Amino acid sequence: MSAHDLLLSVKNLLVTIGDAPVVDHMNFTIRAGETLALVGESGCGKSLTARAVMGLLPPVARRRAGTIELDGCDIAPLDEAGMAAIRGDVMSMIFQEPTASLNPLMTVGRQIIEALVTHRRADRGSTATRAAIAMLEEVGIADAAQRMRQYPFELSGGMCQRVMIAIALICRPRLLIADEPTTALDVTIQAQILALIKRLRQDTGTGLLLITHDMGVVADMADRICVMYAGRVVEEGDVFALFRHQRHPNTKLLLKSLPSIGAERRGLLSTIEGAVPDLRSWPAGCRFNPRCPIADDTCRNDVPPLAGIADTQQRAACWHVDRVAELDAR
Amino acid sequence: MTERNATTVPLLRVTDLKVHYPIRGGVFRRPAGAVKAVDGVSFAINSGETFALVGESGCGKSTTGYATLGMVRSTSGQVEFLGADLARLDATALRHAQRDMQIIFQDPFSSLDPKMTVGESIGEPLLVRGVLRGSALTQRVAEVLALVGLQPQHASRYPHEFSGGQRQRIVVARALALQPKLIVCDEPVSALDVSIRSQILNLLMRLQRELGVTYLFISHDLSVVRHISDRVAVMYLGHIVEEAPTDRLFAAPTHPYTQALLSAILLPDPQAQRARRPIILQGDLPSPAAPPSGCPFRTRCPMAQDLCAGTVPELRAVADNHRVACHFVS
Repeated sequence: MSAHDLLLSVKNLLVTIGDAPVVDHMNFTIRAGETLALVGESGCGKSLTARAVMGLLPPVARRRAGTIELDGCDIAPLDEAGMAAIRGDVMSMIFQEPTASLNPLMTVGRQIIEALVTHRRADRGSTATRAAIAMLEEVGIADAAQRMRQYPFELSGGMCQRVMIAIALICRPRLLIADEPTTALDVTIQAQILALIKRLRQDTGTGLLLITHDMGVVADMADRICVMYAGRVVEEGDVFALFRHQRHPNTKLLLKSLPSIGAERRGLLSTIEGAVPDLRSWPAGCRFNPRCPIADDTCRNDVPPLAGIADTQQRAACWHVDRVAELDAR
Repeated sequence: MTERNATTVPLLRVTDLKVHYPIRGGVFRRPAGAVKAVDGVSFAINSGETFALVGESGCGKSTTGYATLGMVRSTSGQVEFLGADLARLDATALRHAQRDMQIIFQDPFSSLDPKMTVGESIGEPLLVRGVLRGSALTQRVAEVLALVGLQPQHASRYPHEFSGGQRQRIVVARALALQPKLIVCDEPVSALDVSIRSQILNLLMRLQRELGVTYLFISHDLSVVRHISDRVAVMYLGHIVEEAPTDRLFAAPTHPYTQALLSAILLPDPQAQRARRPIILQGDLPSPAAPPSGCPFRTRCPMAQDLCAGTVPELRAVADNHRVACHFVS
């Protein structure tokens, strides 16, 4: 397998809630072994994008268009049985709330073995048990054989998160989707979990779609970033390049509002005025225009295309790419 | 900021505060042990400063804040507000002291009554305390709304009409209504998006400059704490393990736990972040119902020796205003 193998290719993905395009014609790709971070403020469609790929959209949301190619096969037309056969096998997902995502009535061991029984036709006997114990050890759980017999409530949040990762990885998925995998965890546990995901990614060549609003996690983990705002991609590019130069005002202001970037202690932090608009009243033109300090009439009327920036690997959807640097002076 | 003077009485002094919750067992519900949520915490806060309590979930930082305000009953220890021991005040004097101490909670969605208008919520403390009523009350509500950057007409609306950031402004306005001297901020920005987070942090800093209010700032977010606070105390399993002025703590963390905690902060800069080597702690936080003997951190400490199991390290000064509880720090 070469590092350039295209693993996931999402084209023209449209997800609606009512009439609102909450994921508005998204395009992105992930190669084997690559990590793509999907970032943006709450309510921008990051999680819905991931759930659309997994075929796990909530009942109010509907996929209206688009293809989702996994290893060259379009999985978008698959029915529930077809998706269930892939989920947890070729691709799997880690959720934000580890305690809420595990079944409280099943032992940890049974929940891990379940994936093997479903996808590998393993019986619940000693082979599956041994594989599950080995997996728990791999994710750094001590006394794995004993933990197998415990219920989620007997474990800490960090331990539950590791169990969920073990369930997600037991069938060696080609694609792992992690939706805010460490947001509910403390920093020292976050450090353990991120180190674990990195090691597994390196060992197995799994592609990772990482959804987060934490720019620190992005800086630590991602190869490429895709910034979403109000259902659309506003900027994408290589992680090093994008942290050096932001080509869209939303990205620039998001990074500037963090207290740690060279900000003087107790000094005024940059802000983005207002809030993400309600999805029923998304503005015309560029959806960021009401909060953008450099917006003009063009931005209020016309949707900017996601266009490549000359001499870079970055793409941005802004009518005033050349003026974004002005925001540094404000 | 008000002038600080070593000879003046601190605004708040907490001495050897303990909050133990009994665990009852057996048929006769006899006390079988105790969860030592806070186990001998001492600190003092000067008027006009921001003092931060940091640590991971379950370390006792919020309980310390609640016990300071009398929201949970302390098992032992002393809380002095402007030199007066709160436990010795009569009911009238205590009510008076409590007017000067308010709190802001983490989640602005659950800390406002959905059936009360914003004006009723903000005015309630004034009404309950019998401070103001009628048009004077309406006047004061309009004043505090203006202080937090909202409009007088917002008083007649309901919480659901506001975004998360605006709701947190309303919660701040309610805390300010009685013109308190001390506000306990319990994770005030943890539930907010980064762009909104910086708006609220700017607001808190501006209010401190304009009104001279003192903050006890409880947070697990170290980059926020670094930005906003003057002094920081790091808690672990019910104990303060290190306390120092903010710049000093971040420049020269001394306790092994503080070092691990700070090394786990993720920098929003891929180059700098990937050059870092976090100290990854093994294992999880021990249960506060069965804390380790000796030093509370010894079970996860890379430096632990026999001495640490036998003797509790005292919090002692290593420099001006810098205290550390570790046997191996000179």
